[in-house]
Parts: sequence; structure tokens; C-alpha cells
Amino acid sequence: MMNSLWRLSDVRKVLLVEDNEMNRDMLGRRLTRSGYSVCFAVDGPSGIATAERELPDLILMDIALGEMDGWEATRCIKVNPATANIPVIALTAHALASDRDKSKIVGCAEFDTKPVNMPRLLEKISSCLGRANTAPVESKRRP
Amino acid sequence: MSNTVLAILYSVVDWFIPLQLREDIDTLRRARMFIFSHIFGPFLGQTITVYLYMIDPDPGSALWTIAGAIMLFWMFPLALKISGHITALSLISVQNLIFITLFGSYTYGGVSSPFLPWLLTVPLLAFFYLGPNPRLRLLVLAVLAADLLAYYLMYRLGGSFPEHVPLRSLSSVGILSVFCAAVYVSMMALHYANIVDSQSELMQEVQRHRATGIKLRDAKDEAERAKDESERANRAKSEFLAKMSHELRTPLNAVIGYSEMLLEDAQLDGRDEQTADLRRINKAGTHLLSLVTDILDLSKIEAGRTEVLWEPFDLSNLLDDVAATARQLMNQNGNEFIIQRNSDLAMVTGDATKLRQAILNLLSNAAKFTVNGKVILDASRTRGVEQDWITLAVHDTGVGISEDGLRRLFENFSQADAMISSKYGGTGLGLALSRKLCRLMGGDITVESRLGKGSCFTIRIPASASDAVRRIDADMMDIPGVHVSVSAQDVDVLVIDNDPTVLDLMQRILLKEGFHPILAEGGQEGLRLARSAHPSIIILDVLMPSMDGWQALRALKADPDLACCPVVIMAMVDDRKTGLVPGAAEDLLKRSDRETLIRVLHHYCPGSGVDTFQHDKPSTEGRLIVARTDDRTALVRLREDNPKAIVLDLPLPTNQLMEFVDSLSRVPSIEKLPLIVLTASTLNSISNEGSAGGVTILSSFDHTPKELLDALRCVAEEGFVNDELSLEVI
Repeated sequence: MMNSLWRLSDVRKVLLVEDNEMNRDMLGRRLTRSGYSVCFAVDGPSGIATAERELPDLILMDIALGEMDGWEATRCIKVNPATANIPVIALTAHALASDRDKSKIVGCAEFDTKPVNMPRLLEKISSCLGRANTAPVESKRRP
Repeated sequence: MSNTVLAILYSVVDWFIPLQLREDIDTLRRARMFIFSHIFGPFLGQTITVYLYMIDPDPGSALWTIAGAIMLFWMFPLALKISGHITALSLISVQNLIFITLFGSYTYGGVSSPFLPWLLTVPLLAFFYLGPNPRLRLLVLAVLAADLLAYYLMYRLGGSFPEHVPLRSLSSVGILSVFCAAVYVSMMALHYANIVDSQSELMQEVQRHRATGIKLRDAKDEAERAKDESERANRAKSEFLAKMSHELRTPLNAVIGYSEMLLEDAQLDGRDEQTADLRRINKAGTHLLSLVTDILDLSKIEAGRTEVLWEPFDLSNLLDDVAATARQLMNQNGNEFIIQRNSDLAMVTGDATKLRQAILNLLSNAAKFTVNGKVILDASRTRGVEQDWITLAVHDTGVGISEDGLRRLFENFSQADAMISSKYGGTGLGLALSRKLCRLMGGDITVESRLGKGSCFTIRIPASASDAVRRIDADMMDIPGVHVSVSAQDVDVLVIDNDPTVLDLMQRILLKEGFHPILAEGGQEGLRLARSAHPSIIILDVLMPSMDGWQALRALKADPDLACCPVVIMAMVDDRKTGLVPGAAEDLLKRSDRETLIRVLHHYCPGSGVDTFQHDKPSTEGRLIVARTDDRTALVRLREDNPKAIVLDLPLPTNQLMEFVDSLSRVPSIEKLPLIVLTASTLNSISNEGSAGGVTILSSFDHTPKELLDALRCVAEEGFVNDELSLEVI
């Protein structure tokens, strides 16, 4: 119920998991300017915890996160029923095919390379959110 | 000279040797020795008889016997040529020699006889002739011993040696005999020494080969080490690339991002001076980023790790953008630049960056090799059968390329002429890179050129099947009346399709049905993902450009880990027959409805009990119940639903299928029902025994859905099936 009310207000919440402070600050501010409500996490474990606590509409996951990388964090988010349906966009500087494969295997909805091309990233975000909207959680599964 | 004599000698000797004795070098040598000694030996022997005749002009039968026996030796080469039995002839010859020696010795001089030294040659010759056979050697010694015994017995019985010639007149013939025997033995020894020499040469040759073998092995080890080394170096290079990519891009990310933010602020506040400066910072950052990206692109292509990003983009905008950059280049050489574009270029799905890179490369080449001429960029979109194609042709009136140059044009680091690099500069990597980029996008670059007249480079890439896919999208989403009764949660479905729009669509459908989609663009990526992710079901597009879908299917089925994974084939054309051959579990038309797809997916869902799908179509059309019939409960369900006919389409081995048919026929309420079995294999056994019990066999190869419906009509007692059910079968 809360969830649908939140949606009605049309301010989407994005969780940004990024360990580099400058990038976190910059990307966060730009997302805020673009009309998103942004919450942050600085590493994998806090990303998973924040996702469960805040239940964002979308997660931007940096992959190079140190001890627990973005792949593992995404996997954890995807196995938790509470957060499994939140679309995750993987962000990585490693523009390699293997990264793209990994992002697909762990269940990322999208994959983008850094440095971010802001219009392209915003497009991907709204497209992911649009998809989540047309295929709402309630209708996905039957008992 | 001596060589010629030897050659003639050998040719004479060899004339007597039959073919079967020439196959083995050892036997050939023995045969040669045999012939040689039998031709020349008697001459030496006969000198003794001649001498004896001279001192005793009336010698009696004894000397004639000896002379005859010696002449008999000359028959042996012929006998060998005719019979080929060297061992038997050797034994006879040895016996003859012993006879001559002992008989001669008995009749001429007894134990002081001039014949006796020849006894020494007996074992020598015997062993030469007979080769390394211990039994034959023993046999020869036994024969010798027996003959000596006979000699001794003759002496004892006769009381003494008969004296044809007085012993003292034999002294000179004794010397002659010893001399002849010595010559004979020396000849044999020389011949033998020759053989030993050639054998040692052979041994040396063997040694040399062995040494070469060792060297080769060392070289191979060395090469393997070098290969490992280079693989390690390549891995290190890739890791370095990834790291550098991260290290360089992260700060650039901040530079570009912050400058963009400040730029927006400055623009809003109208601070023009700052706006200009910030734009410069941003431009420099972007430039640096593009340089980093270009260098990485080159490195990635060299490491074979280039990938294509599929995005929809507006081709017209891209051309405007490219033209703005190209115009400056054109002006430098005073060229006129014209863009001709077809009005309906519309949206294209592809890698805009790579396409831009390729077009710019062609345009900058055209600008470079044309002076005070004309460069035309001609862009058009053509409708194809499967999809639209974008053609971008760059015509110039420049120097042109020779035929020889054309052949090497697309090779790495190749320029049409060595002069070119000194006159015009450049690395020669541009065209190879551009072609590679276009091929990655499913297209290509072709060239036509005439020396001195100009060149035309043409890029042709697919515009993607986005229109067709959008239509399917509308058809496929939200069809009412499909109830999914089984949870497909955690079922990984790998979708392999070259078209990102289709992938996107499939992802949505699968997510909505609760499957976990894994998306792969193209066959190679699909295979890789299949191996790493081990999906439960694979959906495969058979019309992919880079790796043909059929190829991918065969590769999947050839991999022992993946062979069991059901593959659902999607295709724009109904290529059903090919699909069934390599073991695709199910094939569907791309335009077929989503319901069918979902049904098929659930059909192959692992661990699901019974999944029953019911149509909410008007009751007059009848109902089709699809059940996972490998579960016993399905039989119960069948009974409850009370169907009018049963269609079996089970991917089971023949014997299991027969077992199941058998179990169906034993269920009371459905035993009498018409049963249609669909199968890809020929089930002669079932059809033979089944036809009596109301079982109809249809081969998936030979029957279209329409034919199946006809068959259903025939077997069903009431006309409860109609054409509108056409997509529900097979």
C-alpha cells in the first residue's frame, strides 16, 4: 500500500552504491537534479542493507567496490525476496564482454559504462522504471 | 672404374635373386653372398682338380667326382632364381662343400690332404648363408659332425687312405689349395666388412634421426613454454587494460561530471565567461576520454575483446554530427562535401559510436586523398526480406586505388602504396578497424575504385528488425485467459537473439511469468553464458548474423553439459525440419503467440508437477488440456478432465514412450480414447501394435499443425476441435 502511494507521488527513489566519494557526490547530485530521490551506500554489504531498508525503485550498482564486489552484492539483492524485483543497473569502468555477461547472470536489468553519459544513463533508468511499472510485482507470480 | 665393375658385378649377382628375397635387406645380403660365392668359389676350387689332373693324367673316377661336385656349385644360383629357397639350397650347398672337402681329402692324401684347409670355410659360409638362426647353425654343425664321423668310419673300414697320387707330389698342390682357400675366405671377409660398414652407416643415420628427434622435442617444449608465456602476457595485458580503463576513467568521470554540473549552473545564472571556460574544461575532458577510449578500442581489438553496444539511435542526427566534423577536414584540401540522404532513414538499432567511427574514417580518408575535388556521402535505407539495411556510400574524386592495392586494402597496417604513408601519413589501421567494426554490427564495408578517377567505399549495416518486433510486442503482451498454475521461480531461461529489441521483449515476458531471464546477444555470447550459467531452458533465435542459430544449436547439443538442456527455437521462417534434427526441444514461430511460448516453457520447466493450461475460449471450441505427463498425477488429471482425445508429444526415448502409451491404455476411463502420438522418430513397433488399439502415429517431420488437426478431426467422435486451435499443437 505504501509502495503504491509512493509511486503515485511520482518521486522515484534511487539507491546509488558507489565507493568513490567524488563520483558518489557528483552522480548523486546530478540524479537529484534530474528529479530522483537518492540514497547512498558506500560498499556491498551496506548496499544490501540499504536496499532492504529503503526499498528503492532502482539501484545503481558500481561494480568495483572492494571486498564484496557489485556482482556479489547484486546476487544477494536478487535472492532476497524483499528486494529481488528492484531493477539493478550495473556501472563499471571495465567495458568488457565478460562484465556484460556477469551482469546478466547475476540479474542486472541494465549495464552501463563509466564515465557515465548522463542522458544515456537517465534514459536507461527511466526505461527500467517504466518496465517495472508496466509489469508490476503483484502480477508477476501466482502462488 | 672399380665402382663400374662393382656395379656390373652387383647387377649380375642381383639378376639371380628372386623378388621375394629382395624385400628384406638382410636376406638380400645373404642371397648376394650366396650367389657371389657360388659363381667365383668353384673357379678357385677347380684349380686344385686341374693341378691334380696334370700330375696324374689318368686320375680315375675319384677326381671326376670331385670336379663334377665342384661344378655343381654353378647350378645353385640358377636354382635359387627358380626356387627362391635360399635356406634349403644353402644347406645342400654346405653339404656339397663338406662332401668335396672330405672326399677329396680321403682320396688325395688323407689327413695331409690339400683339400682339408677348405673344411675351415664350411662353418664360415654356412653362417653367412643362413643368417642369425641358432637352430640352423646347430644343424650345420651336426651335419659337419656326421660327415666327419662318416670320414672316420670310411678310414677305419678301409684300413688306410687310398693312395692315387704319392703324398710328396701333393705338397705343391697343398700350398695352392691353402692359397685359394685364403683368397676365398678373404673375399668373404671383405664382403662381410662391407656389410658391417653399411650397417654402421645405418646406425649413424639412426643416431642422427634420434638426435633430430630430441632437438625437435626440445623445440616443441620451447614453443609450448613460449605459448604459455605469451598467454600469460596476454592475460596480464587484459588485466592491465581493465585496470587502466578503470584508473583513467574514474577521474575523468569526475572531471566531466562536475564540469557539466557547473556548466548547467553557469548557464542558468547567465555567467557567460565562466560558461565558456567550463565548456573548454568539459570539451578537453571529453576529448581526453575519447582518446583513452580510442586507445583502449585498439588494444581491445588486438586482444580480440571488442564488443558491440546495441542502442536505438537517430541516423539523421548522427550524420549531422559526422558532417560537422568532416566538413573541416574537407575544407583543408578544398573539397566540396555533399550529403545526400534518403528522407526516411529513421531510427537504427546498432552501435552508434562504432558506426560514427567507421563513417568518419571513410570521410577522413576521402578528404585526405582528394584535393580540390568532390566528396559525396550517400545515405539510404533499403527494405530487405528479414530486415532493413542502411547503406552509407562515400564517393570521392581522388587519387583512386590500384587493383593490387585494393586486394591488400583491408589488411592491418596495409596502405595501398608505400609512398602513401610518407605523403599522406596514417597508420593503415583505419580501414581494417572500420571493416571490423561494421562486421561486428552484422554488416560490412566494400570498395570500388579506379586509379586516378576516385573511390567509393560503402558501409552496409542492418537497421535491425525493430518495426517487426514492435508489432509482435503489441500482439504478445497481455493476452487474457492464460493461467499459469506452476511457479517458475528460479527457473533460469537463457534467451539468445541478435536483436536487442527481441531480447528486451523476451525479458519482459519472462519476468512477468516469473522466470529468471538471462539475455545473450548472439550465438557466441549465448554459448558462453550457457556454459557459465547452466540455464534450465534456452530460447534461441536461428537467424543471427554472426553465428548462425543452427550452428549455435549444434554447438549446444555437442556440449555434454548442455546437451540435456531443452532448446526452444524461434525463427521468422518456419524452418521446423532443420530444428528437429539436432535435437531442439521445441520450435516456434517468432510471430506465434506468447501463450504458446509460455506453455512450452512451462512444459520444460524442471521439477514442476502438473501444469495445466486451459483456454477460456467459448465452450463450442472445446478445450485443450496440456499436461506434463511424465508425472503419474497427470493420469489422474486426465481422468478428471474427461477429455475426448489425447495428443501425446513427449520428448522421450522410444521404449519409455511405449511404456507410457501402455500405461495410458490401462487407465479405465481413458483406455478407449483416441490417442495421437507425435514423434520425431519412426516408431514402427508402436505403430504396428498400436494401430489396432486406436493409436495414431504422426511424425513431427511430416505433419504440419493443419494435418494434425485433420487427424484429430478424424479420430474424435464429435467435432470439438476447430481451426482456431491451430497454434496449440506440436
